[in-house]
Amino acid sequence: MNIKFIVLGLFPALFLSCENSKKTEPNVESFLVSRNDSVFIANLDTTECKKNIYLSSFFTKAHYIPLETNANSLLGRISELRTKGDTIFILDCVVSKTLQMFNLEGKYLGIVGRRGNGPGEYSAPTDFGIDGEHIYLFDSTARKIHFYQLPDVSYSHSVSIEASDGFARSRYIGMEDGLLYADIYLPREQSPFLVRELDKNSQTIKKWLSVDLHNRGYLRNDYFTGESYFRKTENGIRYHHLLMDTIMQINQGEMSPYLAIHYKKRPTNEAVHKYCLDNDKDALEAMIYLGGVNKIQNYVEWNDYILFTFQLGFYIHTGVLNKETREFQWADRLNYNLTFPSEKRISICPIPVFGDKKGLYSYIHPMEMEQFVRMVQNNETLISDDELQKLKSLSVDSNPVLIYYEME
Amino acid sequence: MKWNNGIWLLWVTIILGSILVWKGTKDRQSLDHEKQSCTNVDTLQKTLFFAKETLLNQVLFSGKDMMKLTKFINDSIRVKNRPILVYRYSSTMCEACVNKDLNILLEYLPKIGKENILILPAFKSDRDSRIKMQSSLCRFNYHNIEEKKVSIPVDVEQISHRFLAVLNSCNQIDYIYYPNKNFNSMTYTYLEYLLNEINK
Repeated sequence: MNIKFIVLGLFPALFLSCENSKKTEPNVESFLVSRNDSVFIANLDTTECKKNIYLSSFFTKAHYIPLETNANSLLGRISELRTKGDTIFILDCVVSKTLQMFNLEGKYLGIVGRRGNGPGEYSAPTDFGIDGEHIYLFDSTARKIHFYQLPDVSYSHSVSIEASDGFARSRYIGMEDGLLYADIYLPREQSPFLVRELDKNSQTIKKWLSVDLHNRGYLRNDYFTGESYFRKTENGIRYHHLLMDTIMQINQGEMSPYLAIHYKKRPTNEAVHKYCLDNDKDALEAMIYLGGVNKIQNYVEWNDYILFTFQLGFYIHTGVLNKETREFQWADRLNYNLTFPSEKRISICPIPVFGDKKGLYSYIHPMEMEQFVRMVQNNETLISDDELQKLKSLSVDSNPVLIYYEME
Repeated sequence: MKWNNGIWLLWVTIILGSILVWKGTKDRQSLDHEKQSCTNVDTLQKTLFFAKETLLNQVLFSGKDMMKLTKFINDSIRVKNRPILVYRYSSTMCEACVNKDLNILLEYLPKIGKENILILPAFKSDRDSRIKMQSSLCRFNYHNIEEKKVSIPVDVEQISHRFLAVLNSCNQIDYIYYPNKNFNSMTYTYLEYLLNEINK
């Protein structure tokens, strides 16, 4: 009789416990950054900051590529540039918000996809890349990655990036071997990460760089998705976020440091936090004021070289590292003495956008076009007659001009 | 005897378990119903809020501005089709909101006809603006009218509002509608209504 009552009492308890148990979702494992014993070091203390780094020390020739200007090919800015074979792909995510194609002489070839809301159409493309025989383009408003088949750039398919609660923001992506890497910010996630690896269904496989562990103000929404980039190279993807002083690499599913900037006066986390609290400022402003490295930008690799600009405190510098010799040099500016006379004070600074095995692509910003056109007309550039012919019809309203600096 | 006790125990357990499961299901249904009620109330509240907002922030589209717009369409742009659906917005407005409206208009382009839609952006006359317009409006007929030439309607807080309207066969601005990013479904409703009216 007693046993009956005990068992009777146990069974309801068993049902109740089953009724109230919550289903737990599988957690995606977070990964630590791997060690890299061959990380490149850009040591600001052992290397003197020069006034100029001359382009002629790396390249022997400069080719001008005026991009064809017609009603369909208009570009406001060059946000990203890639080449595949004889085609130059240019993304303007600021003004025209399109991905356009030109040949190596600048002749307009067409557009990839188009603006709109249909399949393969986009409203606000922010990043793109080439992986194998596909171009992938990220539309940050629709939170979709569109894939186009090469060589005819016909639309293939799209993948959505969504969180289960519908709130996910991202801006930049990288792709390698079919895996996607994105800076997805989930506002409702308690412990966010800077980088995620996604499978082809946009499900998170891995995540790296915990914001809590690396907190330098990353929790600000605009930092999270506003100032990072992924750069695809021959041996992996390079990743960087606004406040980091290290370029990371993602290679074969692992993340490790690739290039680190070293300097003794690096502000400590405590100093940054104290400055933020005392002055009611954010981490970026703290890093600027305290003389820390921030905003590593215009990052390109060509042949054995890495070039980038970085801000140290209030000032912007240019750095170049030779991967073979590991020699690093940095300067106040990059001197384009192959295209403009070095002794003259020229305010045109072509912006590096992409490097390949033989050289470096830069472009002249539209705001500098007026001055550039005037210099061309007045013969104030270091340009051969052949090259000059290409630029004869240039005007202030023309598309940006590319300059390809070539090694011998 | 033990065997009978066991069977009895089993039956009691099954009955108890069923009662608990049934209760749980009822609780869940009640919760779903409550959620649905909340959603209905939420929708109603949003609708009321929108109506209230519209009343409080009445957008002023003056007769003078309407006449200027009509004159511009007739004399400067010289569009002869009537009725014509007009969409006007400025470069300072929320780009995502405008893109959403344009995407909806693109959906209706085949039904309404490209020649019956006219987009009238208010941009500055610089290169970047020309590129933006060309890129986003290349599938429409469009014409830039700077804001200083024809004003955009503002509300009591002096906030300008993009709008859709019809220029009818009597050369009058009619069926004015101010899209709201939180109520894109109403834009669809508006366009469907217009289609019905025009096809009558």
